Amino acid sequence: MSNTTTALSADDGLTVNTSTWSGQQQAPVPMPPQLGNPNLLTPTSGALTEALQANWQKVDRANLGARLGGNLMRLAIVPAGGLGAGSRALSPASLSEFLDFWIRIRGVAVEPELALAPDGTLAAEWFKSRQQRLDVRFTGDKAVYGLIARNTISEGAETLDALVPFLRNHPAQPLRWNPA
Amino acid sequence: MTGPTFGLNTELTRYVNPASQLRGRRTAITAFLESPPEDRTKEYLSVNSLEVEGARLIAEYYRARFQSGRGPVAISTTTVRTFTYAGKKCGVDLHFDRSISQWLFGDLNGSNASAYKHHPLRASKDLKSESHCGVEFVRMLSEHRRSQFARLLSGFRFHLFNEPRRR
Repeated sequence: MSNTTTALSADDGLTVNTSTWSGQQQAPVPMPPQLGNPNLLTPTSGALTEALQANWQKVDRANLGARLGGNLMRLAIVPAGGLGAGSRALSPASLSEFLDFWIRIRGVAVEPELALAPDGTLAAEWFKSRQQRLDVRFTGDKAVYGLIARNTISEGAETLDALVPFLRNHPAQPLRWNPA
Repeated sequence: MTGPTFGLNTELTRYVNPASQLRGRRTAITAFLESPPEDRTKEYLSVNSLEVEGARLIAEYYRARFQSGRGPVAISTTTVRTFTYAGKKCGVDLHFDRSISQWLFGDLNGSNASAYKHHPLRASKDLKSESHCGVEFVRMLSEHRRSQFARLLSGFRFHLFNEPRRR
C-alpha cells in the first residue's frame, strides 16, 4: 500500500476545540440532523435518483441496516446544487464503490456514519475519539482514507483490494469504532 | 468598517450543511471540501470572520443563503492558527510577513499572495455578508492534500443556532 504514516507530536493539534464566544448563547439540543433541514430532504421528483437507479441491485445485496440505509437515502436524494452553488448530487460511481466496500466489511464492522461531499462523493466515518477515527471517501476510482489511531496517522488513496485487508487486519480494529 | 486582521487566535466560521453533520454534533471531513471550482486561480475556502460579525448574525446569513431562511444552522469554528497549521502540514508554503502583519503563501503563478482574504458581500442583488472571507491557500492543495487538510480541521463539535423566535 502506498500510504503515508506520520507519527504525531504532542502539539499536533488533536485536542478538543475549546474555542468559545464570549456572550454567545448556544442553542438547545436540536432535532436530529436527518430531520433538521426540510430543504435538504426535498427530492427533485418522485423517481429514483441516478445514483440509486444505477445501484439498486447492489443496494439490495448490501443488506443495509435501518439507520445506515436511512442515512444513505437521505444523502442520495440531495440534488445537484443542494449543498451550495456548483455542488453535485451523489455520484453513481461513488455509491457503487461504497456498497462494494460495505459488502466486503459488513461482517466485521459496525455501521459508519455517512456524509456527502460537494463533489458528489460519499464519505464514511468511524469515530471513537478525536484521536481514534477513520474516514473513507469513495471517489469511484480509489478510496481516499485517513486513519488516526492514537499516535499515528495513515492516509492515502487505495483500491478496495488493498484497503479492505488493511483495515480488517489493523490492530486498532477501526471498523468497530463507535462513540461511547 | 475595518476588515479582519486574521490574527492567529481569531476565529473563522464554516457553514456545516446537514449532509456533513455527524452524531454528537461532530463535523464531518466533507464540511471542509469545496465544490469543484470553475477557475482554480480564484478558488478559496469560503468562511466568515468572527472579528467582523457575531455568530448569530453569521448564522442568519447561512440560514438565508443555504437553507431558504429556515431551520437550525450548524457552524464550525476554527482559529486562524489551526488553519495555518493544517496548511503547513499539507505542504503549503505559508509564511508570516511582519512588515504587513499578514500570512502569505506562494500562489499558483509563483507570486506571494494573502493566505486569508476579506471578501465582503455587499452587492444589493445578493445576500449581504460583511464578514465573508476566504482561506485562499487551499487552491495550492492537490486532491489528496485536500482530504488531509479537511481531516485536520474536522471532528470538532459544531455549534447549533435555532431560528430566532418570532413574536
